[in-house]
Amino acid sequence: MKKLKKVLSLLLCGAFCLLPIGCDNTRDSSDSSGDKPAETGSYIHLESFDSYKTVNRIWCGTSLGDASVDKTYVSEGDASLKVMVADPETKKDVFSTTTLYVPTEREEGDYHDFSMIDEVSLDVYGVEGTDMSVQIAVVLKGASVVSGPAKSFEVKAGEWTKVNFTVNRTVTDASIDVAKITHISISCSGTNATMCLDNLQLHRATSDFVSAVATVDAGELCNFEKAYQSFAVTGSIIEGKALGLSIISDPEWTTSGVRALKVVAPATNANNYWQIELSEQLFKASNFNEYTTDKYIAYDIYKPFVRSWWFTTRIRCNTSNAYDNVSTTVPEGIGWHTVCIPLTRRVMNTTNMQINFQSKNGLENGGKDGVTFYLDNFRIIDEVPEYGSVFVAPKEK
Amino acid sequence: MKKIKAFISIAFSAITLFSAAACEGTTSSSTPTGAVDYDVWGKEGHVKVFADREYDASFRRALAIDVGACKNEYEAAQIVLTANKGNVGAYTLEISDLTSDSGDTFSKENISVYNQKYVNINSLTYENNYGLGWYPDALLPFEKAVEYGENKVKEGNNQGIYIEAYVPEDTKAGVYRGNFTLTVDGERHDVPAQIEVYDYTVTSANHLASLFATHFERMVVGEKNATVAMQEKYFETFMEFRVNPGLKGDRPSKEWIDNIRLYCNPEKTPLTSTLGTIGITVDKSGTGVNVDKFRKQVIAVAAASIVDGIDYVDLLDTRCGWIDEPHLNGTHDLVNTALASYNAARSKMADDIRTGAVAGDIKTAVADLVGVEMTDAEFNEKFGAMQQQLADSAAGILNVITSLKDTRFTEDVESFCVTRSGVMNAKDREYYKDLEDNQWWYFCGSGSDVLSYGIDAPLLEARMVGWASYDYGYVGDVFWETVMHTKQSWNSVGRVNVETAINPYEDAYHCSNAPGDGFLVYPGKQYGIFGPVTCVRLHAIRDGREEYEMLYDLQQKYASNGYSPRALLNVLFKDLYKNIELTANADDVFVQSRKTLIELCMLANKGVFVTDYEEVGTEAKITVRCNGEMTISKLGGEEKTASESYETTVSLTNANNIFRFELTDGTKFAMSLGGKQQIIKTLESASNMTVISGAELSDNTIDGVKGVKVKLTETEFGDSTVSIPVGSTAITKNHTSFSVRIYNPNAKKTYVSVYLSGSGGMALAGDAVLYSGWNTVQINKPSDIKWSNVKKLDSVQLIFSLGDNEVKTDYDGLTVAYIAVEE
Repeated sequence: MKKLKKVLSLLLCGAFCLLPIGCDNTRDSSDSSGDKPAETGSYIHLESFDSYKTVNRIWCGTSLGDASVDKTYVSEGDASLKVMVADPETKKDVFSTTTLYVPTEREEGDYHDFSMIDEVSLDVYGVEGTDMSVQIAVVLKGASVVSGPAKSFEVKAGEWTKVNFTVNRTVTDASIDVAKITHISISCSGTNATMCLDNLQLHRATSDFVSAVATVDAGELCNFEKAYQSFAVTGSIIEGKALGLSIISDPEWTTSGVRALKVVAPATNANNYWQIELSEQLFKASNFNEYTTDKYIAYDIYKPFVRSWWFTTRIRCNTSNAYDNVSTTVPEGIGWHTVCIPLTRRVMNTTNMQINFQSKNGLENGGKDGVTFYLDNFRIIDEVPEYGSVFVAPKEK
Repeated sequence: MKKIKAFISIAFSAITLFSAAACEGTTSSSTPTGAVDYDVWGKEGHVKVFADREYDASFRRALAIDVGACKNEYEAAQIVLTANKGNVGAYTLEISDLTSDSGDTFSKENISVYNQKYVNINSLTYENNYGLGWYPDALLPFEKAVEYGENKVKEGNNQGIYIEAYVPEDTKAGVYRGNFTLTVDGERHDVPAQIEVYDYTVTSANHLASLFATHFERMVVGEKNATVAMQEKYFETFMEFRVNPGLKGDRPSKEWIDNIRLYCNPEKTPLTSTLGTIGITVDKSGTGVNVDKFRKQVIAVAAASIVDGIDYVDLLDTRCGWIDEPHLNGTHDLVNTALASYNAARSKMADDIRTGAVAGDIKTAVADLVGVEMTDAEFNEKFGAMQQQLADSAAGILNVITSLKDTRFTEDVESFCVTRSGVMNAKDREYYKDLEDNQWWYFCGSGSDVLSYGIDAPLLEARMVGWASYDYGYVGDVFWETVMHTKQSWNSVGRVNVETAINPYEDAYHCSNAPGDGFLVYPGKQYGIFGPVTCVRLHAIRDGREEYEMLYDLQQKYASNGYSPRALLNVLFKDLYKNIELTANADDVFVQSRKTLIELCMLANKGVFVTDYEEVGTEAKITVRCNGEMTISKLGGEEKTASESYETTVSLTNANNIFRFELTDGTKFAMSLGGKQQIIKTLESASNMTVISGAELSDNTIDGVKGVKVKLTETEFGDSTVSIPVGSTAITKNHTSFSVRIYNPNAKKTYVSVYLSGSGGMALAGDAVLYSGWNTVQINKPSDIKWSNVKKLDSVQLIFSLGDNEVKTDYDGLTVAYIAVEE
């Protein structure tokens, strides 16, 4: 099929129409010319997907079918990134999703500070497939982050779609820090889907960013009731599979208010550990380090199986890399349990907290189906509560 | 007109692979203004040629392809373009079929041509190497280099073309000749090409086990492709290189068993060699191992063995990830517990096969495999035929621990993945050797200055792993990752370590400061290739593993006749590496050493065995035995009559000492035994030696040879040290080797470290195990010794030590007879 040029994108660019970057007309892979993102007054041209030199640095997982530089469907420059969402041999007729992570930090310029970026745009062409969509998010720490404020855009076969993702700087800053956006995640979904990505741009904000102060109640760390808290917890990727994190509004699965965090951990082949991380912003907002050591950090966990469950709660300081792994064993029994950890386990200048667990070993079914559980009401308490099944981590260090 | 210096080889040597000196390059000529001045020359395939280094005529070979290879073997050579002035705009190489004198054809379809890609090494793993610069590594198929415009050379650079031949098993032995055409900016150069096919077939089996971990998720990051087809392409590529990337499929799923039956069966495999290792999963259960899962895997593999009539159980081994690297995790107790549990499960499994207790389970597994149930009679016949063999194999399934020996381990821990730094001295090497076919190598991180798969190491190091594996008794090889196309780096924004995707063609430091660590292939996607792009290191690894098979075959053939090839092979080994470090001139002697090995294999096929070799003074005593129809017609210069055994003495007093004989069918064998030997110090009296610590000296005579008896005595310093005064020029860096003759009257081994001592201090020259009887402790390449420490030589010091927990009072004294040098 003949090469397409998307007129719309040129119109949108207007007088600041992009210079081709990363062009590789000679097919000489050693050609390194033209890699610096084009910058104009209104946007930064982050990626044009014209050569493998830039495509190489994109991170992808095992849910991918194939991603390759292609010159058939192009909205800008010489080529686009053709993404076959899933393996056509093993996932034919199966709705699938794959996520690509485009780094913002690069040799030719760092664009991790989104305090003056309020929009990410991308051109997407639906080559073939059904139920196709693209979801964009700004994320911290590259491939280890799967959640965050994201929005989905429908993609139709045979059409270009202009994806404009608005970066809510206030919410982003309250959750993962707007100045620490290490990657743009692009999740492509569909059945037998192939689509082409092109012309990834970061648009400059016209208004100054004013950091919003996250408000917390006394003793509150994160109870998932406030909007920004929806994006304050992130999870890891193992074997190309993402930890499923979502905020649910169902009183049956909460211990305070109406919202809680649902965690869906897929089965893994190896003895890998999943990781859930509470953001630094939560700890800053709560003035966590000012609490006295006679108190406890507590959270509620719903365990859906009978056997006891061992995992670790890691209290850490990101600036010094110091941390304390608190061995955490939730006793036998299905239901809500409260984990209480004395603040004597806190490290100096604690910045955040992680929960590391396995979905393979120690589970009743051997982890064949993974595990789904719920978390709620991270808080600071004065005394260990007497109700329910309570575990108190040892105080000794 | 362009000025050219093409070094055309006129004559080929039928014996040597690269007959070097006669074909050295000539000097450069002047170049017309504006023209390109370039050289085209040849080089052996086992040597790295850097992009940014000047090479003189002594390094260069004639522009020719001259390869000697066995059947079912890959072997390579290279040609190099050097752009002296101006840039070479384009070059191509046209290859053609080769023809033997008898009219047989070696098809060009069996010859692969690669363009070498270079990567900048800007920090080094260790000091004893080539230095900084642009190292060759990736091998890009030549047609892709042309397609992507990489067939050009910048001024001042070298560009290597790697030409590799595969000799199909059905190729007739002989010399195949032809002519290739190298065209450089329109100028054509004839490239004489010759492949000598030896009458010896490298087995398709792989007896050197391996696990070259190839993690799917890491491969995906590099290839940007996560399809099953790509995964299979990677698996088959590695298996074609005789290494095991880990078989696909859950264990013991049908997919896994099908893969075993495909890749481990020489009748079915689509590859040129079969897979020599099958890893099984041993999970944790309670404080021990998951016995049920272990048994299911063994039973499934035993069933496949019975169906195919091949003992696949013999290929099984395991490493438990949950007890990995206990020395880093302090989990020795856990390893002990796990191994006790594993060993019990293994013994029970073997016993149950041996007694037939598990026959019903195997019969069921056979039915699952073939879809129909065998009759009892049929099953009993097939099972009975293999029952004892399978039981023995099950009893030998190793659980290899990625650790060095440690006093915290119990006897249950019997098999180690040994890092090279853990076997730097003779005593440690001997410890693992004594574990009898139980230890593996462990390649992970920097190679220091020992045999390495690193980019910044000589290429021969990767190849020598195969040789050293046989020499030191290693049975397997773990390389921790082959597709690490990512980099662990500090993300200053997130303030965390983040694994990021990189361009592997431009960054050799994927995960540490050791270039090449963690990867052995490159993503092909960048060049429109579906599958990996290989590298010179991986090809060298395969070459070494092919040569391991020759050594293994030689060992088997000698052993089946009641002999050992070790004595003569040691002569080859000492020229190539010392301890596990490459010797200084290994590159130069390798081709001849390899040819000698092949000739020994061909002789063994004819029932001719060189069984004994011992250097005594200035003579080598050698025994050749003929167990077949072939006998020796000429030995040295003497005519011989038919006999089963020939003993000969070769004088080592000539400048070049050759051991040679000729068989009745005209086959000639010649082997260099080195240069002129000279005894520089005889130790006929105790006054010739002084005690530094822990020894008593006395005169002694053994087998008519006078010497000084060194009785080891207890000392607070532990070891016993004696000093032998020598002249300042008695041993120099220009000598090829020196040796000390020592008699050990004890049944137990002792160990000796040899130091040179002088006005500046001492430097270690080498060490050795002293076995019962006479030992010639040979220190090869004194040029490798740190003479800056010694300065003016005044003595040779011998430091004797015993095995762990041994006491000196249980030992009779050692007798030192003389010191000799080889010019």
